[in-house]
Amino acid sequence: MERFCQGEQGAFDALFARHGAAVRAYLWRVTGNRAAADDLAQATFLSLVRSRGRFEAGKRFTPWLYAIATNAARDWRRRGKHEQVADDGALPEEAVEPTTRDRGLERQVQAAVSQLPEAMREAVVLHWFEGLSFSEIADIAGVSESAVKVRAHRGYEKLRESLKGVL
Amino acid sequence: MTQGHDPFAESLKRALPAPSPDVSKLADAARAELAANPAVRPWWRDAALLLGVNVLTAAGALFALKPVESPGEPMVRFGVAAILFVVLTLGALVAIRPGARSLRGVFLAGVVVAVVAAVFGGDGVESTKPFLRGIGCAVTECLLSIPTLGVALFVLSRFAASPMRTIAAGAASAAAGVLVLHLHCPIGTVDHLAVFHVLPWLALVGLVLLVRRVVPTKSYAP
Repeated sequence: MERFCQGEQGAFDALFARHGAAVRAYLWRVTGNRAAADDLAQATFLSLVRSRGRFEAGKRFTPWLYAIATNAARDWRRRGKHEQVADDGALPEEAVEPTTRDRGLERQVQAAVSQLPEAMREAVVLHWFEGLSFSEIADIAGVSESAVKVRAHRGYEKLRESLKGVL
Repeated sequence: MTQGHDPFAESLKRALPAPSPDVSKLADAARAELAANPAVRPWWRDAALLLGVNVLTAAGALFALKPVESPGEPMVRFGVAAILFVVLTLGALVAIRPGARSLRGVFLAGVVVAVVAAVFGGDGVESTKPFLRGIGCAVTECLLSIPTLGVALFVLSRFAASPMRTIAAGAASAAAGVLVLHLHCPIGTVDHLAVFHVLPWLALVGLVLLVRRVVPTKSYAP
């Protein structure tokens, strides 16, 4: 990060290689929309470049990067650019990557995640899917670690309830 | 509740695996920005811009407007002015400084003190045309706030939307007008100060909050 802050392009490439796919995956999970995840991942790394002078030396980089991605996703949702979940709870069809994934199950889980309140969804996705610690999520959300634990736990229980019989 | 100890958590992760598209193109815009602007922009440049506009606007108006003689206690008069000056300057720094969440909370508590001081720190002098004079004060305050709030919104657009940051920057920027009125308005009744000095100040902060919601964000970094 230090070399990147000095304007070194190679350092940016190294950061992107390390975090690019993970940030994009996080944004897909939190928005439920692949095209939006691509746009928001671009915006996240553009923001990273524009605001690298605001990164505080000695702080952890990953929570800061995820904070940027979370802010981008919140703004996208607030501006009403998100796709609506259909009445039956399924998300709209999107461009599908060629893989052997279980699309039906994926859509059901994604719909359940999308129905969580925003703060709960962020805590659940960051902890259970992205593997961030509660203290890192607290840094991202700007709340206490215990508040994050409550959000993650409640969100997790809601998911367990809504996916009963599915998983 | 820890990861990996619960079969449901494992199933959840398996059901929603990370997609694996080619993400290399997602960095193109960032690479272009980095090539165009290789120099780092430190946070204090935005703070200095906001602080400079706030101070210059207040100083310019204080010199341009006709001074008034107040029969009130000078210590009270200049004490309130000092509090407003602190809000105007410190607020610009606290609003912009990265990672200053708790400082912003303390600053907003200080704004409450400044509001009380601005309402009750007058000299009690009444006016024969309180409403018309009052409208004049409110209009002056709003006009003085155009450059400061415009710059505040410009600077805020470089940050992820945050109500605390927006309120702090708005309160600091709109304080320029309140400070000028405090030293140049001949009316010192509590009613006049509350309705025509402080209420517009708070309304301008509310306006900044509303306008910030529609201003496009240039960077989502906190």
